[in-house]
Amino acid sequence: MISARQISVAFSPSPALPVLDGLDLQVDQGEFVSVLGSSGCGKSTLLKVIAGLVVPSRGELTVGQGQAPGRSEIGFVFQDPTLLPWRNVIDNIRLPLELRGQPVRSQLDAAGQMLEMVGLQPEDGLKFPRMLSGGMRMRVSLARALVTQPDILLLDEPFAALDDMLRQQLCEELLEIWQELRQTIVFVTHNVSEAVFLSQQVYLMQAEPGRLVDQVEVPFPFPRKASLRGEAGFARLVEDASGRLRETVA
Amino acid sequence: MNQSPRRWITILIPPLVLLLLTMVVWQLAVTLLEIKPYLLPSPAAVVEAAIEHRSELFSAIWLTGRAAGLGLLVSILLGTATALVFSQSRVVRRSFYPYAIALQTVPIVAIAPLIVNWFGEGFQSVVLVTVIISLFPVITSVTTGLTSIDEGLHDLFQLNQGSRWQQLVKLRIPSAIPSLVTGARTAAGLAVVGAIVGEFFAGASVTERGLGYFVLYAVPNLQTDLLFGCVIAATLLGVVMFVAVSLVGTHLLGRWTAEMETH
Repeated sequence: MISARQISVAFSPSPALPVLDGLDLQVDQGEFVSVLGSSGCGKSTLLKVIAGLVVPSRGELTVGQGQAPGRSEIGFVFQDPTLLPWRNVIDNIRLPLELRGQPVRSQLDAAGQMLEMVGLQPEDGLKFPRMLSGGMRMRVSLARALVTQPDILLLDEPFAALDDMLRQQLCEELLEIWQELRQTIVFVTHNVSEAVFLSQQVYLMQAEPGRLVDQVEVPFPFPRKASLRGEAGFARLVEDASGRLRETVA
Repeated sequence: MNQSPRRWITILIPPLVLLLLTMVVWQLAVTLLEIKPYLLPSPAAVVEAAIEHRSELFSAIWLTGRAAGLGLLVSILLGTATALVFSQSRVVRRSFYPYAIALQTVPIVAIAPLIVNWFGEGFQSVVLVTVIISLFPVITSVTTGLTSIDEGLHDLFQLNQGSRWQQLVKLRIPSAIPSLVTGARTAAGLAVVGAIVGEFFAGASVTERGLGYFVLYAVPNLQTDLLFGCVIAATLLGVVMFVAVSLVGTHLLGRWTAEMETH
């Protein structure tokens, strides 16, 4: 679980204008939530605070069972795939385990399993990032985040650079993975339809300062299939969330 | 694969045709305008002088090439080691970087006599001058490569508890390889210049005569044709060193830049 209370973050050049101010967020164990907001509203900073990469200037944060962010239980998928170009796919996926000093054999086994889980073929494991399409790179990035079997998965607009078809496909695959592993997921996006399709709760974020100001509960049961996007209820909820998001921006 | 020879022909033919045309115009101009050979020798005279002095020229190229090559190697090793130290401490970087920049602005012609005073005439002083001239681009390029790490990759290592050593070995050093290759390419050209300038001051040995010595010898003796031969030889040496460094660089950068077949 994640519990953030009155979190504020200010960076040194302009401490008077905090990126996040008085932010509250509660995510239960195994829950899939999305944070929806315009570009630059502080969504990525929020994820970095949860991951322990940014230390809040004020507020209380509890991640997992501990009182402070426990990095070992967190997987992070960045906006860019951030793969190491000199390492092949398998070596990229096993990097987090290598940094933790696990035996090479278990690193390779775990990386092989994750490769399969994200829908890549065994022969893809020997390819280098330059040889992969944008979608494949993002799958590798997801596999790398999953390889440590984290309790919490943070995704920072991972599909933003992909075309719509691929984006929808990867969303469906991400849901399948979540249903299998049931991690706690915080998914940051500025795409309303994506947020509604994926999550159980959608939090709406305002900018300057970044704060969660509204919440939309998504009632659709799991497993969710691609056909959900064509249903009237889905369209109504997307419209409702979009309207509320416009109000937060206004 | 079949397109490769055609590609090379497309690349090589235009400059070779231009070179040939230049030679013809040059030869005609010298002959028709009766230009004195000590002002501008004809291409034929340059070739003749080069053939006449071929054994001395070859040994001069070999000597200058050795000094340039060794100087370049020392620059790459010393520059990389310096950059590694710079990358580990902002305080050290801020303290020493101005002096590294000053190294580039050192008027080598002015301090070369001092180097001869300290280290004597000969190969070692020529190599030292070469190092002083070619070191700076390696330091700056590698320092930039080691310190300009993508924020996401930095976060990835931090998130996964990567130690400072792991970050250096598994992230910073491999990330800096393209910058090292860029710096080494620049340094390769400068190393030849450094070796020849070094030989002007420190290469005056009876047994060992580099290209710098021949340049100094040809000018007062009005052997402009030999001087041209030396210039062409030095240019070729520079090209060979640049190409050699580029080939090693291309091999090293295979994983970063090469277009590999996916199937």
